[in-house]
Amino acid sequence: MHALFEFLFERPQLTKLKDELQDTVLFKDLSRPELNKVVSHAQLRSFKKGDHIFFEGDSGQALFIVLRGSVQIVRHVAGKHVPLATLNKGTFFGELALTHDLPRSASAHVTEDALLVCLFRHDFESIVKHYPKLGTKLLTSVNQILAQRLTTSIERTVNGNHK
Amino acid sequence: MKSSLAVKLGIGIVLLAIAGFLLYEFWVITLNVVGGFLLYLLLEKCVDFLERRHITGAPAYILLTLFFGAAILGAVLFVFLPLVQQLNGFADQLPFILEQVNKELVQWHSFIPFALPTYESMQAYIFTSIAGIASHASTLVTSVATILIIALTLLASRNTLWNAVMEKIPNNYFEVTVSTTQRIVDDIQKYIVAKSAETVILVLLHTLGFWLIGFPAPLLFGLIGGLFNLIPYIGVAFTAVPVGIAAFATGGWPLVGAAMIVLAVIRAIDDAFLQSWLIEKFVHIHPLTTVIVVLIAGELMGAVGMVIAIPAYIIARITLKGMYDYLRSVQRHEQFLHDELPQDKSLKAPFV
Repeated sequence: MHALFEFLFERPQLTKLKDELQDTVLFKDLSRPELNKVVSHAQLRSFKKGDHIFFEGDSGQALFIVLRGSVQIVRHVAGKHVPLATLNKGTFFGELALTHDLPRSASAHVTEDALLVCLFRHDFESIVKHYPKLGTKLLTSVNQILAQRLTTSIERTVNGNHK
Repeated sequence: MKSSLAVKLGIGIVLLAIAGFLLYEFWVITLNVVGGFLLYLLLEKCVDFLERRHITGAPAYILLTLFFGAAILGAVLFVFLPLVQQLNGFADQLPFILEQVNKELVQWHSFIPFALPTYESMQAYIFTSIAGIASHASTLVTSVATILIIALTLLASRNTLWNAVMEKIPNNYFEVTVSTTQRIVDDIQKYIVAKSAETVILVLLHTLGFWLIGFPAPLLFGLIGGLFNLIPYIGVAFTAVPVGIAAFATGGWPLVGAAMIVLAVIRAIDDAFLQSWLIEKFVHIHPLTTVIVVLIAGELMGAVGMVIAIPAYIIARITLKGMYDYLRSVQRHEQFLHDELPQDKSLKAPFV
């Protein structure tokens, strides 16, 4: 009976990856029931090497968490692709789409076959609305990482200006 | 040869039009599927509500079954049985009512020459419709059963089905398809919940109003008033005709006046409070657009078309916007793909 309910009412693939998800920077502070709630709102997606996840200027609707493989973030400047970052297992990108209805500020493409978890803004808003405590935890995690990235960017800019 | 945005959008619209034509051509199947999907959206909202209160899996479905079982039992005891009684009483009175109306119209014939022919054609239309409904009773029962089966199947497999469908979408269209679908489901779900709440409130208000003025069969006409309201803006006109005839035949002009006041007061309540609280809050459509859409749908599919006009319009609007946005972005993608991609793998994450 339990197996039937598992088959009917739970997401088949993502449920098997909960341990890997728990290790990611975004979900490390979540309890197991909280993680289950996020999983019920998230989607799993696999990409091949060379695939484009999204392009600069696209309407951003989802955050992506890298479970396997690697993803490169690039910016299109004066007809050239400028690499900004390479993201591996446990990291995430596209976070601005969760809270802002803005075009993507950079493109993302797969450099090694990748397995990504997608959390759409609509689902994130639903989590925040219906489970405020969990929503606050997620937003806090996103904010902490955004602050780290801001610090890195400032350092990079300052170092660049001094060179 | 690369095709332009206009060509791609044109092909997309033509494909959508073909899909629309096929759905229209096989409208009985379409109605069953649409009905099942709409019921599923309503039930899913209930399941979500229970899940948020930590009632999941088997207990949630048992609770839902008990709730709807009790609701159906209550409806049979307090609505259906009195309704059948009132319907029988009204059917007994119908020849008398028609005779009365006929007598009055014959008197007016010299002043309003078109009144009698109009009434006769209306009467013929009503009898044809009743006969049509009776002859399609078995189709109706089959449809109700099909809609229930579709809704429950969708509900039982909601996550697995959603995942299975989404897995089939190519990566290129994944983000736009999921977000567009979510927007459609969200808007339709809100519309159904709001419209259902509005309909229940209006049935109660009509029944109460008719009962207060001593109208015959208040529950029957309350249901007619509430259900015709499913047709936006012009539904009230459909209510006024049978209500006016029944009132005139059973209580004369004073009852017609009282019944019209009841309808006007309820319309005012609906426009001033229910529409703004329930419908406009969730569905942002200009009233003029609503009227045009409803009239076009009515011309194409009759009363059923009028009922499903707004949900169909919501779906078409969001889908076309999603298609347009995507096709516009494709041009930009092609430009980006012209440039060579870098191979640097040693950088830290930026904001995206």
